Amino acid sequence: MIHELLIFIAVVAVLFIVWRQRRDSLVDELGIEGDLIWIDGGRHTKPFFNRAFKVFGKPDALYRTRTGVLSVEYKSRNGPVFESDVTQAFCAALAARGDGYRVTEVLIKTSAVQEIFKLPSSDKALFDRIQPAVAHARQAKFGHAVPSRPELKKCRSCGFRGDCNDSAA
Amino acid sequence: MRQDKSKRKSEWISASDVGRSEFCPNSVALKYAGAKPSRRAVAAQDRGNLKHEQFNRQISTDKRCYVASYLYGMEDQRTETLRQFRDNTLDYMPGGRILIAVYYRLSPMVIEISKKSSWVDLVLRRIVDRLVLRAEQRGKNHDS
Repeated sequence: MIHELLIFIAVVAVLFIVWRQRRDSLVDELGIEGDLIWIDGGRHTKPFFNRAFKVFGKPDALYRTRTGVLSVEYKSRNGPVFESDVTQAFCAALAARGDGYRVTEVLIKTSAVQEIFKLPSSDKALFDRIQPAVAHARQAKFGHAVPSRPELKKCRSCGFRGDCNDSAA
Repeated sequence: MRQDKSKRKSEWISASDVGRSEFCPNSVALKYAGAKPSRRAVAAQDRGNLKHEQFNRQISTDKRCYVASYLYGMEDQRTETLRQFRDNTLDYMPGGRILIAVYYRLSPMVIEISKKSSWVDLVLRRIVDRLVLRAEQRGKNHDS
């Protein structure tokens, strides 16, 4: 009886230590409290695929947090987070959901700032959020006419402005 | 039938194209029409890739200190095999997450010892080599 009690106490103690370590662990320089569960290791790392919405992509990292899975999108430039960054990050999160990672939040980090966005819980609602951009990207891929959004700043940073008739730069 | 299949495949769209489409749909159209990005854009892309690598290395080594990354390097196929084993197998096993957590706790210490002692390094390498072999065999069995 005493032996069983001692074993029980030992097991509880080990579980408590592991729980404490997990709770206190891994507040890294991004300020994320969680376990790094996936990282984009470069071109050898396969992207995630979401067969329902036919989108694929790779976030830069995935962390398991207390509330779910947090996806990280890193942009090396200075400056704010743009809508295009948010759309790309949401699409990569949808792709990761297709491979079983229940991404609940997205963190987008530039060299200057970082912002966290909560995602809708259903995949459909998340897709609806990015649907116009997905539709335009598909139209562009199939060679159909798509709108341009010429703005001086955007066009200056666009790699295709030399071939673009609508360029504002 | 084959045509249908190829058409279905081509409906797949990448997250980066979707993001770029939000920026300007015409830039995606130009890319698929075969326009070549400017030299400046290619250079900026290279710089971005380098910074991405640095960022990834930073977040993966600061706290994670993977033993496999230490032994083989981050980009090595063997490291990737072990990552896949961790994410696709171990993570779903009963007690797997606790094992992963314990591994993360211990690995910085193991690496420090391994750096200082060549025979610990050798033993560690043999153990991890064997683990890679088993993970590869498991992956092959799973595929077949």
